Amino acid sequence: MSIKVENVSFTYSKKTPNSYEALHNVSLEIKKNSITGIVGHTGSGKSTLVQMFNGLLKPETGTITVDDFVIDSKQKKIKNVKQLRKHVGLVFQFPEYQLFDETVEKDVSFGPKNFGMNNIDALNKAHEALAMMGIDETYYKRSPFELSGGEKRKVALAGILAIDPDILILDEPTAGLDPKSSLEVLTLVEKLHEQGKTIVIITHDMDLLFRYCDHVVLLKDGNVAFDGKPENLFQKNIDDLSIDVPKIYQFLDILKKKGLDLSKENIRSVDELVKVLTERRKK
Amino acid sequence: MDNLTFGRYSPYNTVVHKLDPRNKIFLMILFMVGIFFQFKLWSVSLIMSGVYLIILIIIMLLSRVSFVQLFKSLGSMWLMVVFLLLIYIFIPTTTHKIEPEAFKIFNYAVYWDSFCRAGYIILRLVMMLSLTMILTSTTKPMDMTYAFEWYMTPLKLIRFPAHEIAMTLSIALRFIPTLLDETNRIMKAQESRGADFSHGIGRRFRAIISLMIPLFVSAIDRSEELANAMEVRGYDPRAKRTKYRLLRFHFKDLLAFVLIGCIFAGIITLFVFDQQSTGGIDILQVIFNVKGF
Amino acid sequence: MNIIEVKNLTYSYSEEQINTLHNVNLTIKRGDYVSILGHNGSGKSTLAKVIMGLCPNYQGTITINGKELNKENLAAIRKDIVMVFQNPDNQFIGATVEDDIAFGLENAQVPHKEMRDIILDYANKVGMSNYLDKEPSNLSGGQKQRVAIAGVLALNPKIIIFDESTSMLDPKGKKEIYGLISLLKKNNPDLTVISITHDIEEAYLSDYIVVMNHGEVIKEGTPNEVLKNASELAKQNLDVPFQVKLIDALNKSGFDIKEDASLEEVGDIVCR
Repeated sequence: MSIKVENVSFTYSKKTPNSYEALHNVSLEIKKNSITGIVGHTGSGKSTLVQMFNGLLKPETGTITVDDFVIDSKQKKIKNVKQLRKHVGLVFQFPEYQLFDETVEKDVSFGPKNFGMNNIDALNKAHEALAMMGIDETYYKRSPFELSGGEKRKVALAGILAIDPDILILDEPTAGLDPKSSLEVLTLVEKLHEQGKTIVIITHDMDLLFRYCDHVVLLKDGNVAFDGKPENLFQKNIDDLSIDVPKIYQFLDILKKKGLDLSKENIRSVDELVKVLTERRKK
Repeated sequence: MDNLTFGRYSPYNTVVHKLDPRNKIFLMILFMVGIFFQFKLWSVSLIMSGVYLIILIIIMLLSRVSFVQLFKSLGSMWLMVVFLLLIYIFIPTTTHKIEPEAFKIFNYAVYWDSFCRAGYIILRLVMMLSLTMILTSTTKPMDMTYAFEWYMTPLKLIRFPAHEIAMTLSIALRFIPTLLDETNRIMKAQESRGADFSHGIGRRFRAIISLMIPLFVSAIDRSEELANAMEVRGYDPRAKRTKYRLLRFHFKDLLAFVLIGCIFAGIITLFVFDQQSTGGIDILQVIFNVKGF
Repeated sequence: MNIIEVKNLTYSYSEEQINTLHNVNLTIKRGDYVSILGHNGSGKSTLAKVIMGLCPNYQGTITINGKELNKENLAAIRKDIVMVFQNPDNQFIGATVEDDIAFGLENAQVPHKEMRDIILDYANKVGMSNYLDKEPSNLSGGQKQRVAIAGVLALNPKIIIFDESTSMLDPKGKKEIYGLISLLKKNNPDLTVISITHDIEEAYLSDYIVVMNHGEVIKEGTPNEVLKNASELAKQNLDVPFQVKLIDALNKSGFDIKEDASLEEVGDIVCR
């Protein structure tokens, strides 16, 4: 078990005219060492949910258990919130907007230092994290503000990696990046997963979801609308869903209308599709 | 963010909301000046304060300004209250003092007079505060800037950049919610990196730096893009522009103007008479004497 | 007729820096829907800004609707060409939707009496007429971008440039904007649309594609001409459209499908 959410609700600006319920009695479980994708349109409650995982928000009702940490709505204050934040690294959308220090290495070491490391250890940790992100030594002493968009994103990610969290949450990690930088970021995520970390990705990108995730949660208006394997997400009536249907499923739908139903084949990529089609042709 | 709610525009549709903002600002200033006329006699001051209060309460009811909010914001005034009290206690005045002693602190006589004076000035401050609150919660921030620009127009003759200032103000107002959101977001992002905004001076300082710099950088980025967007839509601060929002002086504005004007005239008349009077009975003195101080 | 002609355009932000744009030549036909593709830092956004007259001090000539871009013509050219930017928040100038649409009209000195009708008309065109008095903080990203589009359309331009206008939107917002662009094109075939993007699926919908890399135009043509070669696209650091990827992979494993076949046609062939 890694993260367990039980009957969690949350309302913003309670008791005001702008009051708005972001989560309604949500229950779900995220297993250790999984890559979970959280999808849903803007305002479906995705960001609210993940901000509870590292104690930035406290549930209004219900309980969230993150490994040894229990966050209960009845507690006045979340216990050990600092350790919780070291355990669960949360990367916000467009994390390059959080860079602030004079040099790249100083910025990345901000996290480890906050969690009690001395300067030298923190710098070492920072170098390690930067190396993992593919940022080499020539960048260490440069100002983070003079880097390109893709490089800034990687430095910001290193800022969280340097904390060495067991659970890594990424909110739209590839938004605004070009295909090359996206691929670099996602390859790293895959590597971290292989090292045993639990990964949660919020995304609108269905191709990303199918390529990397083994578990998907679809939120709709603060409720869990789907919880299961990615390939089962589009087996129901496609038009019902409030998210972008990947092109491959649109194509499978076309095939289905032409009398070729491949929904049992668990197809997740073009290569798999072509393989199935070629084999079928040989028969 | 709760402390920012004071005087925030509340979208109702009352008579006060519909008044011309230029008129509202003028009348508010007029009223404030009236409140700050000092009368010689306590009795007159007391009666007039009562009259102001009643008028204020009527306006507040009319404009649906929340009393709860007013009282909440008064709570933060306690420091000023203490300060004023101390001043009036330790700086004795000579004119029409209400003699009876209230109590003694280490042989220093504290007079009821000090309390009365402090109370009176606080009352007037509270009234000013509620006036400002009525103005801001019934007038859209944008309308305020339009009114501001109108008042500053004559200054254009001496090359005062009235339009530029009004435009800057309105853009600043427009971006306040955006920047608040941003602040909130960056704060959370830095907290996720272990920044601590609530404990220890050193840690807090670092945390605040980690918030301020990104906020500043993004504000500069935004302003650059905004400048481009404005330029693309043909904005030139020196060029002539037409106006979508025109301020109009309606009949109800005239009515409000006459009403407040009459009250103000009344205050002035009273003030003149008050200044001429030499003696008379001070009502407070009577009350306190009768009660046997 | 060409509405935009760019000849030998070279530009750099500062003197020490290498050229952001290097010897760019480009012609755009009136009424075309053109996508300019390229990865981050390829110079595509800079090109748009130079064409808009936001970056003076370039070398080369730019002609827009028959007028050469220079200081004297700038005001006249700005009447013909407008731009919608990337960040929905940073281009919302007015306090409310109607004030924002009004902003450009005020600058163009449209008389007060006519403004209301124009605003209503354009708010209607972008489907925002029920939100006239709403403030930006109560709108979604897609809605804000629609307001921005109404704001520039109200100026009656001949050319509209979208500078990654959908890149910060969620799929729903993206669809809204794509739908709106094609509707605009349908209602006004003379309107020239230039879209700066790295969304290959969007580029697939346009009439003409220009691919940029390192500040140079490296390829241009119709979507089928430019996007037919999957491996070359990948080399240029661009995504490959699903359709191209699928046809490419199928042909490699023995199918024989035309490069510009639609998904329906591909479906027919593989179901046979």
